[in-house]
Amino acid sequence: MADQITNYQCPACTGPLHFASGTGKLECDYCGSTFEIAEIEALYAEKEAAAAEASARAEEEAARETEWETVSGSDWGADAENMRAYVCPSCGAELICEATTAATSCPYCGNPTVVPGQFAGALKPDFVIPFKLDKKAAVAALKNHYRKNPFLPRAFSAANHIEEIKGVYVPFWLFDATVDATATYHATNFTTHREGDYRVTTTMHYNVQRGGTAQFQKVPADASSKMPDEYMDSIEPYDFSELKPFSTAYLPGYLADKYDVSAKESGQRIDSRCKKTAGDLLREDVHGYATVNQSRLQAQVRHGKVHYALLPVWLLTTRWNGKTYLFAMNGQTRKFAGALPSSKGRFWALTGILTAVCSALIGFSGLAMALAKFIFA
Amino acid sequence: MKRWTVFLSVLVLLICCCLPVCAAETEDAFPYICDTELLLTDSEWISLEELAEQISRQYQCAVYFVTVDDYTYYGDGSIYEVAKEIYLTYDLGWGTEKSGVLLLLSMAERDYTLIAYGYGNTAFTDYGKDYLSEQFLDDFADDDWAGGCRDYLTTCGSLLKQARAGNPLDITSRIRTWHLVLISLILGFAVALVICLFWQASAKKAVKRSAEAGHYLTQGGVQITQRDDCYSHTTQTRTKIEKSSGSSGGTTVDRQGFSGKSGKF
Repeated sequence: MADQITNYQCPACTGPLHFASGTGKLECDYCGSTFEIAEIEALYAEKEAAAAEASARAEEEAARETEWETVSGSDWGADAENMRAYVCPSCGAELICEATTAATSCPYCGNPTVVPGQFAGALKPDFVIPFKLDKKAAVAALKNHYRKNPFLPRAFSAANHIEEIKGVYVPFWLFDATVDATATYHATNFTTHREGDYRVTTTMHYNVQRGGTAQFQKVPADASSKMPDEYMDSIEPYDFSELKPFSTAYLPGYLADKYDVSAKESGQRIDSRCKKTAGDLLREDVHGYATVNQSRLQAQVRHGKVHYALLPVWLLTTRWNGKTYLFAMNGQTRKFAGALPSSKGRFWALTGILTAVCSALIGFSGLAMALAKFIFA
Repeated sequence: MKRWTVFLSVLVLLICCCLPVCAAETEDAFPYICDTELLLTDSEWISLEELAEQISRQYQCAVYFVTVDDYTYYGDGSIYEVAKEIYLTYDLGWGTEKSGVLLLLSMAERDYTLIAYGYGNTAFTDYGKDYLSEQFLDDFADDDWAGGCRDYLTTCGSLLKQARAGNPLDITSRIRTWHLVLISLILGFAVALVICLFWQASAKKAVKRSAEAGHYLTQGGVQITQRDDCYSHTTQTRTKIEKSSGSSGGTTVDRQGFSGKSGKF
């Protein structure tokens, strides 16, 4: 059951290497040496070829040896389908991970490890956006997120400790699409004039039609069922000009999953997002009218290329009053998302303060007097 | 018969009106109570005339009460226009300002108008005129002419007294400080609650599914290929303009310097 995993080691001291978001290089935790991604990739390509040969020889020898008779214990059952076991190349411990895990760290020695097989063949991502922001930036963003919410219970931010922070390369499908859309609107313009005691409104009605094409490139859809879509959507957009060809060398130090939601499944959401945007663009082109109501929208999506990419996300979890709160930060742009609890006490306290301010403004502005005159008239 | 009635009415009015003109130029020579319809008994007339004179003198603002058969015989336009014409033609009012208030009853269609001029405009605000009308209209509706006239005069007296004290009865007179505080608090609370609810809702909506893909449009990737705007038809609606019942206080004065209100009793 055990499988081979890669642990990038420092060529100078054999310490574990991790990807440093600040420099964009692989850094040694022990001697501090830094290496270019390409340099390490070339080194490990050679090593992997040698290891494959050695592995084949070892398997042949093992086949010739007699085996111990084992009594099988309780079976993993159906769970086994979703589990994988790997051997840590640093300490030899067996790591049991979910089937979709592609990069993790050893719980015994802490070594960052990558499972290259998860990204082999058709599963290999086309692109990756390396982490640009580190853990400190994620913690700072969380604190800033707290500050922005005046309804947050004081106890939450004071007693709350971050339970877990993890940098995750989340699998995304990036869709290219073209939408051909036509829409019909009922639009009006009106003029009013006075005739004696009557106000006469003359309304001109128009049938308006718009048609056009909208081209979309790399519309992202989260391809991991473990990641809540609303969180991943909320931290969009990514700057795709910084996409790099995929290399496992960007993964050490972070977690990474392979996709478990197919492009076809994700594509339905992308279709509706693109259609909605195309409809909005056509509507924006209708101007010069007092009212515009859409009566029909027809949109046809022409599907283009789909790319598979890993995008950087910082995930933070906290617990408060027995409930887990999840936050996500875009590891490239710092965009932060996460729902916070709301304190009723703070809500009413803030309402009270605002009531005092608004009442004073209303009183001094003469609005209260105008309203009083209206009431007493 | 009607002609005779009209003739007699005009004659009485002219006699009444001519008296002060012919008299020495005393401001109070015009009868304050000019009852051409003879709705009042002699004793009622005398007592009401004395009361009107006393109020006019005390507050230096003439208070008139005039009854006619049909106002249309005395001028063109509405009863309000006719009352103004009478006021100007017979040079009514007190002092150089020609201050005064005049209540004209036209018995034919049971119309009335209440006009004010000079200081009368200050003392009898729009709201004051409404209040004054409420005091006498129920009496006139019951054909209690002397009672209605007395209520009119006494109310004029109290309104003039208030005005001379520097606090004419206006819509604002009814508004107390606690009214303003209460209104400010209620309105302030409503505004604050809306702001806080909106704020809280937007904080909760920080995590939501995206419904559009505008960020991912390619440069120059939007092409509008069809633009048809066709005129279809025209419709017309007519809405009656409702006169606003609300008042912002004060007195609405016309170009001739009069203010007033009219109605039926």
